[in-house]
Amino acid sequence: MNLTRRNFLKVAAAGAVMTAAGCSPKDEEVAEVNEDGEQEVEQWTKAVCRFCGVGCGCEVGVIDNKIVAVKGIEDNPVNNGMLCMKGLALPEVMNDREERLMKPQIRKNGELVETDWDTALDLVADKFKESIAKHGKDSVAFYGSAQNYIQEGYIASKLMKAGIGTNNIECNARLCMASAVTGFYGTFGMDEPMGVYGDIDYADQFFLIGSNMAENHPVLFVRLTQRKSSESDVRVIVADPRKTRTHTMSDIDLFLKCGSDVALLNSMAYVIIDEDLVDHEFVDNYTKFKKGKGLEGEISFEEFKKSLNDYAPKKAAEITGLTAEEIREAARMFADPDKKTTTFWCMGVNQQVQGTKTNNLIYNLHLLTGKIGEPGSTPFSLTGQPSACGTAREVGYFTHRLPNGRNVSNFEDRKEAAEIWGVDVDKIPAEPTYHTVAMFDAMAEGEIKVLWNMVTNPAQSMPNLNRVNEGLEKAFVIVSDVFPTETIEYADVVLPSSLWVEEEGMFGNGERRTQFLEKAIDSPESVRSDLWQLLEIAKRLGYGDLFSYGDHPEKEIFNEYREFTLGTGYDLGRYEDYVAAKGRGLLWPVIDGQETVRRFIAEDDPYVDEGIEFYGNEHGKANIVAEGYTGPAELPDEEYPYFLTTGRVIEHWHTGSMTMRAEELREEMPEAYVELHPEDADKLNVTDDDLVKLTSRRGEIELKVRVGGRGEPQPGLLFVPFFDREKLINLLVIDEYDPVSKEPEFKIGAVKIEKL
Amino acid sequence: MLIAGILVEYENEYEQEVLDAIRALDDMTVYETEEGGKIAVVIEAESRKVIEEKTSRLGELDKVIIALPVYVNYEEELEKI
Repeated sequence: MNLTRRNFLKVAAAGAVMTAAGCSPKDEEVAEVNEDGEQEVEQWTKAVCRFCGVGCGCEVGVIDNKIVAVKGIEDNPVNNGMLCMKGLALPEVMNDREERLMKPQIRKNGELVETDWDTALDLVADKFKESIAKHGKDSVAFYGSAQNYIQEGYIASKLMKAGIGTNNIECNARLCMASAVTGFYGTFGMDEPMGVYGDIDYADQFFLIGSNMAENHPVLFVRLTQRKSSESDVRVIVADPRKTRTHTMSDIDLFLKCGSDVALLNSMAYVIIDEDLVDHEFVDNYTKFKKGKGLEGEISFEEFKKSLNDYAPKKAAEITGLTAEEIREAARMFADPDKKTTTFWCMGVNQQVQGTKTNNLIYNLHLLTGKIGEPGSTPFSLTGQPSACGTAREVGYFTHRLPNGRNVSNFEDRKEAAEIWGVDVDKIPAEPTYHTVAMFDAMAEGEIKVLWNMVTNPAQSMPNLNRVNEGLEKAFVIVSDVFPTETIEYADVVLPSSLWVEEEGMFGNGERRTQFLEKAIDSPESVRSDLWQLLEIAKRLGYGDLFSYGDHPEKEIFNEYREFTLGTGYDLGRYEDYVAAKGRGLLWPVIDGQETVRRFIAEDDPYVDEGIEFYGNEHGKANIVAEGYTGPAELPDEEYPYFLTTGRVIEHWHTGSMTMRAEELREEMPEAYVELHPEDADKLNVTDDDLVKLTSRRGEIELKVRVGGRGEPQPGLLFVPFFDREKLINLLVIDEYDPVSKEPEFKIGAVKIEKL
Repeated sequence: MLIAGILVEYENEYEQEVLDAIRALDDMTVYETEEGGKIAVVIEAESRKVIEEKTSRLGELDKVIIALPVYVNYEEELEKI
């Protein structure tokens, strides 16, 4: 066959689509290329997309140590070969060498200057040693990322807890997933969902609350769209204070007031009981009723019912701003006994001071109606980062945690960890120290003197940035990252990190799927992996014996970490199992190399002998939790009359440190804006591109107005995305947090707006 | 120039209408399948934004169920660097 290079690439693209779709080509050229096995690249390696928590399987095409192509993996159960536009941007981000951090830097006379690795690492180690010697172990801290590979998060945790002997370690998943975790524990006694993304293909109804899935989890949204297109009676409820692209799929829109989710969910539970839509057999066999906070007391069904008396739809309507009939209609639809219902939620639920209880109340609806544990019926908490579950939650990348559900405050848990790590149990402190907000406060107070910040950008992503920046200015700050960020402005040492498939590793996605990523290309010459950096610092601090891994540390570290998982219900397979399963991964618990698709169900889960057992709780049942509405930390008032909520846009991922470097994405969405309801725009006499000033009790910012764009907040609500480092909306955001999860309330605050 | 492979799923009984509608669009090459109901559309575009726009247009065509990106190749773009 004699094809031009361009035509060959077109035929290869068509062939990739055919393979993903499981189809045979009619076209002879495509068939011939497929049969010949001729490749358009030197090699394809398997990986998982770097953006968002969905965990789409993708193949990376390499020529001459450059990533030239990317395609979805057809037999990956997450994305079935699909990719979103951010996934297609991966080669562009990977090949950006212009702004990439290429060499270690140290600050001299106020300026960052390039240096060599030994000088930089010696300085980091010296600062750690000096601070520990003068001020104690709790004067140094580590702040990491759910974008780290599992092995990196594990070694960071081991370095701080078993090496240095401090619990001063946190990870940015505190900002997005902590309330989901405490919600899981409150109801099920264990973290992470029992269902899988594949439940989308069996659900008759979807309840989306606090999730703009269309922009933030686009591949899952496409799967939902496919499901709705395939069955005419598939229905969708969307509950959100802001109209988003996700509403294009909705049958019932619930534009509830900010922070009123608890009232809505309790009211739906009220209707389910009031209209006897309860699955009594399920409730009797598999649930217990508990008082709220602390879950200390068991209550009866009647007592639980009584706890909902304040949430009769007419009363809840006053709190939520919905009508009583809207609430009843949503509850009836959710509970329809002939339908399978799947609920998805994300930051809109988690990033509230009521985040934990809101998670619990979503589970209540599923447990009351028995819509759980069968294909198509499941509650599903979505995640925001590629390894929020694998690296952050499972590894225990937090001050209070040890791997796989263990707590530093539990002696037996510490003992198990100490045995695996080969240290004395007393080396691991028994008390947690600082959660994320408190950690930056402690820096501002001068209690933490040295911070190592790895692959995260707190100077942009944290709430109440003025306070955070006060801490960053005072402390000696080390930043490991790939591109310049706002946080690097405060760095005393910068360590250039490898990016994504420049090293091998593992990610754990939002459905318990652990996936292996092959190394595809070499890093730039003077760039090193986060894992290498951690191991080098461990050696320089004198903990070499604890970190004496050989030629293939990723494998040895994973197998050491795996020891923590065995027999806990979080069981992982051997390293080799994941290499063999590359391109699709394995869902834990993995027993004898076999994954578990749905947890807690005898047919699937080897931990269950019969029926359903919620074995995370000692009593083997799930808790239906009575919780009341307490409202947001800050409500609008005369001085600050508008609600402010923040979020993401499809073009940019989190603080934009990668996606703002993709020219097209930057051109498409160059700067942050404030989105208003048209009524508010009229009231303020502003229109698109007018400049306004937003002020909260914490800070102020100038932004351009957008009205009638891709989203529309309800009257009285303003929306601002947080990707833009030139327009730091988090200067205004409140740093109050959920009392259980310690996750900040990014989604709700009070501001005033003035036309300039 | 970027080259993207898009999977288009459509109502099989309207195959000809769908193929005609896609062939009327610019800068797209249609590759049919033996099975029907699905085709591969290859888009040649200067930018990812154009790919996104064209993919959206495919998805909005009558009788098309969904249009999904599966593949992208940047080879020609990287040669320019």
